[in-house]
Amino acid sequence: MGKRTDLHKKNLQTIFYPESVAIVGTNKVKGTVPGDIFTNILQAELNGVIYPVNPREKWIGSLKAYKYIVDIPDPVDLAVIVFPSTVCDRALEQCGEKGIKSAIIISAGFREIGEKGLEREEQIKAIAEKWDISFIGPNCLGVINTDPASRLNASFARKFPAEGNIAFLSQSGALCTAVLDYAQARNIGFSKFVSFGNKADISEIDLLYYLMDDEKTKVILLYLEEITDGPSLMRAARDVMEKSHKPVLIMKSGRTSAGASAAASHTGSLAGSDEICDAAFRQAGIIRCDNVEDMFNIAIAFAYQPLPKSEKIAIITNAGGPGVLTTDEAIRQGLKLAEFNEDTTGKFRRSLPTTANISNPIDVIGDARADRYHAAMTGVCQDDNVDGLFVILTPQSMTDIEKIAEEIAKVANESRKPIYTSFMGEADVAAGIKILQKHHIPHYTLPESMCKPYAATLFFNQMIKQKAERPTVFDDVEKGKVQKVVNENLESGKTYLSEFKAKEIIETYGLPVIKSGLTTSEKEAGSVAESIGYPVVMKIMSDDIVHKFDVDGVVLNVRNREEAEKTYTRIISNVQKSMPEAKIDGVYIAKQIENGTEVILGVKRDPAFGPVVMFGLGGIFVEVFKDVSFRVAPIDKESAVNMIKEIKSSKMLLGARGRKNLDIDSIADAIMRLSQLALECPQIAELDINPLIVLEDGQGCFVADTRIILTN
Amino acid sequence: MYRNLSDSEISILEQRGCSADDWGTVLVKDNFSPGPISNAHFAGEVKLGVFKEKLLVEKGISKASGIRNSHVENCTIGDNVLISNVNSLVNYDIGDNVAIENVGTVVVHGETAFGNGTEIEVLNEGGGRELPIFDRLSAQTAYLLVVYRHDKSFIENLEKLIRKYVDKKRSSRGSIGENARILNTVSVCNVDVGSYSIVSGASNLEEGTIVSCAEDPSIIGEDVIAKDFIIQSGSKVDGGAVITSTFIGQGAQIGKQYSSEGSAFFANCEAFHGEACSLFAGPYTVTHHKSTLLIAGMFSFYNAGSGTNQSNHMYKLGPLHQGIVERGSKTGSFSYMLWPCHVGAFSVVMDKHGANFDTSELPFSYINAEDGKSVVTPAMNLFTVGTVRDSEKWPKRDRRGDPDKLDLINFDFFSPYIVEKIIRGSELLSELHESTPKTKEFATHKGAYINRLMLRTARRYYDLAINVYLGEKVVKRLEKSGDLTGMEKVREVLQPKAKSDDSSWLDLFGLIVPDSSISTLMDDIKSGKISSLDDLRRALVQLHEAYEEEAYSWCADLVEKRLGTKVGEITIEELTKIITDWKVNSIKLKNMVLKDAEKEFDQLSRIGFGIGGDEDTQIRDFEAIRGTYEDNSFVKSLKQEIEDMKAKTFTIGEETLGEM
Amino acid sequence: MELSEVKLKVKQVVARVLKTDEADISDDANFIFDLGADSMQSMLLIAAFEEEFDIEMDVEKAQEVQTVGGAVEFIADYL
Repeated sequence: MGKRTDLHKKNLQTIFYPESVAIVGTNKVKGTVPGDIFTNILQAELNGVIYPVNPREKWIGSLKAYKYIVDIPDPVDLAVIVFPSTVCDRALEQCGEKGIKSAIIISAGFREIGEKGLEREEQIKAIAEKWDISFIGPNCLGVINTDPASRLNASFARKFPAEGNIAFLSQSGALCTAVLDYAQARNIGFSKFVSFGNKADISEIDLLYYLMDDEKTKVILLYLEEITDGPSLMRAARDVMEKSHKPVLIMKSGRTSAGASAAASHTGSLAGSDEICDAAFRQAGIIRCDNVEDMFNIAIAFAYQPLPKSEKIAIITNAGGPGVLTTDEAIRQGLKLAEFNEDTTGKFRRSLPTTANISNPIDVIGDARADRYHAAMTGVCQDDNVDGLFVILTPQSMTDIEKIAEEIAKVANESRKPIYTSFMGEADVAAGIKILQKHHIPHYTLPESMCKPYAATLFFNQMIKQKAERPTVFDDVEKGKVQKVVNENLESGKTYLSEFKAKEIIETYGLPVIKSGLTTSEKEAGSVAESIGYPVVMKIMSDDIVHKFDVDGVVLNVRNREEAEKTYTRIISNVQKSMPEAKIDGVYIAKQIENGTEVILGVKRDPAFGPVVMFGLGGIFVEVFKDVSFRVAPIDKESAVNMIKEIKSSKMLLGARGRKNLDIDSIADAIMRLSQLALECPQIAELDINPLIVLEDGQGCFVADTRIILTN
Repeated sequence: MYRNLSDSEISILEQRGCSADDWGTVLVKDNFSPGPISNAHFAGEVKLGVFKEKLLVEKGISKASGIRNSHVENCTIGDNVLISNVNSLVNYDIGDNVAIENVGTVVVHGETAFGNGTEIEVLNEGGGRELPIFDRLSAQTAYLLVVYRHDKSFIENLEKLIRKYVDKKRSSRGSIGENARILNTVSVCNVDVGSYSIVSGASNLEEGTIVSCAEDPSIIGEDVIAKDFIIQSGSKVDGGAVITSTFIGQGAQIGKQYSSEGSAFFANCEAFHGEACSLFAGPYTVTHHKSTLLIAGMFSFYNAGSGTNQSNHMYKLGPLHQGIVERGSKTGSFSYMLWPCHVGAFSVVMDKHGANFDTSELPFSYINAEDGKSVVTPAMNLFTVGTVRDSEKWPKRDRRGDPDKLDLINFDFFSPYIVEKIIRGSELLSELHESTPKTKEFATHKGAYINRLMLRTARRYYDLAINVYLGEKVVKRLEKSGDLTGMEKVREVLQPKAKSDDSSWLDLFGLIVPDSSISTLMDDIKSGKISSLDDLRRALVQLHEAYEEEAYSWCADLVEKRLGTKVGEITIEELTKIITDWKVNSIKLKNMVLKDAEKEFDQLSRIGFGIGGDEDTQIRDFEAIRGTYEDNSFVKSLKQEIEDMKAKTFTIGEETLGEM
Repeated sequence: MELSEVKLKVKQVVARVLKTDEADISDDANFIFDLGADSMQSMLLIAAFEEEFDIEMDVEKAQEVQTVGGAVEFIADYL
């Protein structure tokens, strides 16, 4: 962590808990941002002193106003700057002179408006660095801290939220106001609420580290429009998860933006930025959310209920249909319906009517009242086979909704198992829902919506139990040799490295390459084929030919010297006929592996996350089904193995249908080495190994074909 | 089609807890089966359809059709209808696939017109502008009825047409259209319920019509109390709204405890949290916030800031006064106006105003209060982000899904109506500049104060807007025509096809039309040439459709007056000048908007920031301006427009015009 | 017109429009930061300068001027 990062950690405490706040550039005019920020700070009853700063006014809101920040006689903890952007630099400079180390710059008119604004932003960053000031913004809605020890509302949001244990960070100020409104309607409170705008200084990474240690925060929600430093974000989220066991939920916009390039490589076309983002988040233990509703559905599960120990849930419902719908979704989310033990089943037989269904889901029937729900819930909570409970209610005329809600709250209070609820409907169940919300029992409008949050909390619980491994650093690699080859090619203007040259590079990083050789004459072809051993495959080698099969430039199953020599001539002739202008380097001969499974590995450099490694089964699995997995480099052994296991067709590698297990370890080794190559050689923009041929367990794997695209 | 019940059917019904005053008056369709009926009592003449299928009652919940636990009297019930737990269902014709469940009473008492013909006292709380509402009332018809009271003969004739229409609506039987839903509602009395409409959780509905259709169902939600009302298709009234003597137009939304009395809301209005009294709200009138009162005023394309308020009481004379706020205007948070006031188009009113002012000749103004004075800054709202975005937002927010759109809405931003106002504004500012001595800080005009220093600047802005308008109209005309082979073709294209008279233009709640056309229409009504509401509608539609050519013709006249150029005889030099000036002025205008986007927070720029707008507008404005640079923000797209404009040229034959 | 005269008139106008003391108006005073002008007052200042000096300024460019000194130079260019 750098010096600025340490500074931010210290100054963020002052930003959230200032004992004195100067509102710089405020005015008396209600309905303007400067006017409203002043009103909001005042009305929230800040635990501190407020100093309005305005060049013309003598007083604002019955408080003495100061012409300049430096005129304020007392020390000031936090400056909230609302001057027009053209003079923010002066304001910040005065903050520095005054000794103020923490600021929130609300003003817009910076990077987001273009070049002129970017200049202003660079200016204020320089001033902040000069005076060791940390600031949030510019171009933000502001900061809210609901902790009664602070009660800071340095924002121009209309509402001051209720106190809670969920922190919300957003890059979009507009979303903040919508989120505040949404949460209020659902009685969801916040610990800290930050719109960080252009994040010119303090970023979401700094805020994550601050919240990691914030006692008032249990769950962290983050909305991002862009990821500027993916690896730092992953690291921060991982640290937060491991050190404080707080989940980080991220909603990132731009899911459908076309990130996948029409690159020459497979990996390039498969690795859309959104798929990579998904993978990176999962790798870091970040829970990705699709929208605000999704995010809060999951957040309240984390905030209000304990983490589940397993995927085994029980469903209690008074209507069959919703129970079935929930079951379907639960299975889809990887959950299981627990099997009750005999003791539990016995209890149900005694306490529930004969018409009730006492297997899972438990249907307590439409006329169930609080007593039946109580019996079902307590039975389930006492069953060791069950680790989570979903309670569904549909309002029938005899349903005592509020009593049932109270009952659920009581049981939840006494149980260590997470309990989620869904009272279906709107008007009739409103009072019951309020009771659940009051007691912090997660409630969901649709019963199916309970499943994803449960799965998320389970995933998180599993992640925090995993020990993070340090990725292996291979020392049997020839980094210098690779750099030489890369530099030579770049200097001669070559950015596309075909098979032969690409294999040279990956071989130096310890990836097993099939025996091969480049030949430039019939005779040479014969002798090289002999030295490799039959059968061999022979391919045309030319930078101008990408699709060798299309020009009849590939021949398989060459089994003897004579055939090798004749095949050489034939290939050259075929290519000269179909692509007379192509510059031919020769015919490449490689050992043909006859029994093996083809997989594909690749590397792509993502603008946000850096080098990303891709894995998939070859052929139609990748071409048609796009069944691939990603990880951001560096990749440790466990992650590499998980990459392999998580593709849908992984059973093909793990001994399905009478097949033997393939050498997974060798694939994992190849993945880790590729990851190291990608990190140590930043000029590699894209890399494909297609195919990597994998033999049975213990017999290793071989790179059969590869290509690399370089960048300056 | 219908037959009597057989003995076995009666027996089955009775076994299932059913009874009737007289089974002989209960008729059923041929393939009727008594199975789905239980615990029902039938009285009077009842006709029952076949209850075979299930129906989707509400989200996720399907139920078997039939009649259960209900009292049904003098009703005709269609096929696959669910009537369950209804205390009294009396005097209704019910279409197929209707569900009525958990409802106290659904009855028609006596003869009623279902809200049609109810006279509501809009605009003048004390009466005098009574508007008879009916289920096909359009904003334009309403405008004519309310505003042209001085022409007694016209009003009498139009009211006669309406009465004729309303008389046909009278009946002692109500109807509930196919696929409608009435659920969990206390009482529905003398209400016609349109097909596909949803009434769910409402309290009391009395004397009204809910118009609805498959393409655009109406929704009446929880805790709504409504009396003497018309609700047109695609509307949503919920959240405990209380509406009395109220008309709600197509696509309108009223909710969140809004209360309305003696008020009319036309297409796409939104009203939440506040109160309306004698409000005459044209299309796109939006009031979202708590503590907002709209009283005795006429508004359209309007946004009310929270706490907006007006008074219509003069000290001793009672609630006499009215206010007019022309299209596109906004009021800031906690703004107040003492009526009478007349606010010009696209203006923003902030602060509290006790002096009655009239800024109808100064559109696009900011109106603030300073030391008790209503200070007007004309033209300031011409080049703001808010104004530009407003011009884009209304067509996008036309919620109406009904294929028969009753309100005729012209979304043209710079229409002859507005440009006329701007021209008048420019002239007025010139006059005031001449007549106000330099020693005075303010010029005054009809109760408003204008900072003398702003007179010239504002006039420059008005003139810029007029020049942009003229250039744009000419350019658009050329663009529409496609290939321009030479100046002959250009003259042919630019020559107006409609005749222009010297008539000024009017805005009839969205219909923009020359005054002379309205005079003709009124004469036709008085003479009987227009003898039905359908005729009237056709005539209005015709006027709406004639707008393009008539507006262009007016513009061509203006080009001649201001630029000295007859478009039908235009030379290539004159055309080049028009195009080049248009480009220069448009770019200037867009740069001013960009400047506004960069400005922050203070008196001027907050307007562009959605001030006084609904929270949604604020958010969108905020998002547009304050998003990250990578966002496709308003600023970015405006910059692109400037680049596109710079590059734009026109090819006339061999010549290329407009290169910069 | 001499630059000193321009400066004097500029300060007079600023004092009048912003209702502030001439003595408080330094040469390098920033209209927003030191004199508290909002954008409405900026518009009035531009109009007042135009009237005082009988010129018509490019309003867009005029709005970029941030200080009293800058205004003096900007106006001097028109004379």
